[in-house]
Amino acid sequence: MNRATLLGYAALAAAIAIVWAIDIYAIPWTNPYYTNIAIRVGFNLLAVMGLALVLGFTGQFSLGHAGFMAVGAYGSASLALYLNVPPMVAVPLGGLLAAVAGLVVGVPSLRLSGDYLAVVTLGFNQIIVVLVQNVPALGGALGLTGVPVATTFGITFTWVLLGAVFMRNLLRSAHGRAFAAVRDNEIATRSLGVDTTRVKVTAFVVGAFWAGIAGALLGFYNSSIFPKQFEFDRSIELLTMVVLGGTGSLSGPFLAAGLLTALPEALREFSQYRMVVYAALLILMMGLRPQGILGRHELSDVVRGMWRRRASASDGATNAP
Amino acid sequence: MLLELKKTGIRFGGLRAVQDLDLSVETGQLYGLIGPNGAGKTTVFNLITGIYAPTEGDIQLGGQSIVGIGPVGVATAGIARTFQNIRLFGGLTVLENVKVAMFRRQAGTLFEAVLRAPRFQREEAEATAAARELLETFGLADVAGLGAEELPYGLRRRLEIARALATRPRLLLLDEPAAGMNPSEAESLMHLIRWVRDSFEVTILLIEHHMPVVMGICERICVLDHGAQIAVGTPKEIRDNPVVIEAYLGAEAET
Repeated sequence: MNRATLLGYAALAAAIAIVWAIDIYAIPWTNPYYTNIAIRVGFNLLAVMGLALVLGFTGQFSLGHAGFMAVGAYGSASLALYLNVPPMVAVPLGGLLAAVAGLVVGVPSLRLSGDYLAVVTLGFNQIIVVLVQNVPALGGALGLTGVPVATTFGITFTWVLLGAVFMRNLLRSAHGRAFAAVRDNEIATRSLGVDTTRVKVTAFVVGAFWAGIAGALLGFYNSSIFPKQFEFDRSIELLTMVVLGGTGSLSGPFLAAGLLTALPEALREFSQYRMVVYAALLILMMGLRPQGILGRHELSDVVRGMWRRRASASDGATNAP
Repeated sequence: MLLELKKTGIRFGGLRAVQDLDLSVETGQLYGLIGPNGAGKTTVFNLITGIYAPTEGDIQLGGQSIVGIGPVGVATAGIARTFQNIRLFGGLTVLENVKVAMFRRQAGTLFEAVLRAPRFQREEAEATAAARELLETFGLADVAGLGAEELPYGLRRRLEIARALATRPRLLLLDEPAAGMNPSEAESLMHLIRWVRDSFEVTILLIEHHMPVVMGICERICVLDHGAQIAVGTPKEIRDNPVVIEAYLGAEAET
């Protein structure tokens, strides 16, 4: 293992330590209202990450991402309720269940593309919602209550950090290049001997896993889950975050997820217009900046660019007579 | 014989885009496929590379049928290609474009990539080194870090050929490599193609409209018209063939 890798692991460990330090020393003195918003931002970061991979980096239009959250939420909550699995074990298992769902949906449907894939994933989302509404053991339309409360700020953001590093490393690898190749030109990718269906299914399964984690954490936070939380409009909300943040960027959708989670809180009294605002935002974005806030760039690129511009500007100043 | 098409044909509904085509490309040969616009040349490439499945006949690579194994299977069997309308990965850099072609040979799993495991590190370093070396020989080393879309047209063509070679093919198909080039660019491309054949020990089948290029480098030429082969032979034989002259001049007279 080389130095850069070790340094990376150390940085991740340090970041997790900071999260737990905040959890232990700052959260007890923080207004629970803000903690609540922060944790909800965390859920959306995890959910949007998967969709950024599928839509932004691999170019596959999925309209059913909330369906995978539902699988993770109901799967892990059921494990905890009926089999007494400890919540923190149930969370990754919920993610794995969602990944399996991703595989089952992905294998037949990823041979399709564009509009067809959108319709199939939309259908999957509806099927999941109708399914949980009609299974008494999952609480039906009333939802599943009495789920043990276990999700904290520390746990949520530990998962967010693990997820972010997972994605970053995945995207900067041979697999990451394969995703982008499929997005940019599927025919050319196949002509190089890359099995594009497999690449797309991989993206789908990984995306579903992180959506499942988000759903599972949500269930153990609210202590109850309802089918309504995972309906189509939730998928649209996640889609909005990716498109707004930038397709082909990871930090862009993160930024948008933070914005679109915190903003409605600030504008509570207008909350019934949320979907209208999302639609308007999407239309505005399509017109003014179709590539999203960050386009295909990352926040780190932007910061580096600004730094360079400042450096060259000050160079110019010192060179001046 | 490396590539053999036997009575190959494809029908799109009532249209016979290619019919009864016999084509034999020997190992190491530089083979040209020419014909007027709409003669079915690119369709032949799409048949060989598995984008279309022939409705009649067989296609064999090294004596084995490659019909029905699909584009990925054909590429894995050792056939690489470039496209008439260049198809690069615009969101990736020049170096990354070449590295995509090495994905197939990399055994590292997704988890090894995420964990930055030793095998991932090694394969990544190897891929980078091999890709850089290839870019070096194609005069693209200086632009390795640029986005593929930022390259000027001529370099894009070069990159596409370099990328195809990165799959280590036995047979390389070039679809109009000189399209859009001026005579001097076409001339240097000609040298490049011959050099690629010799130094990569790869068999080349190319479609081209620039007659000086085709006549200058191809050892054997097949002429298509309306989806059927009208002549096959050495450049000299083709040049003097009255049927070929008629097909070309006839086509030109109509337009």
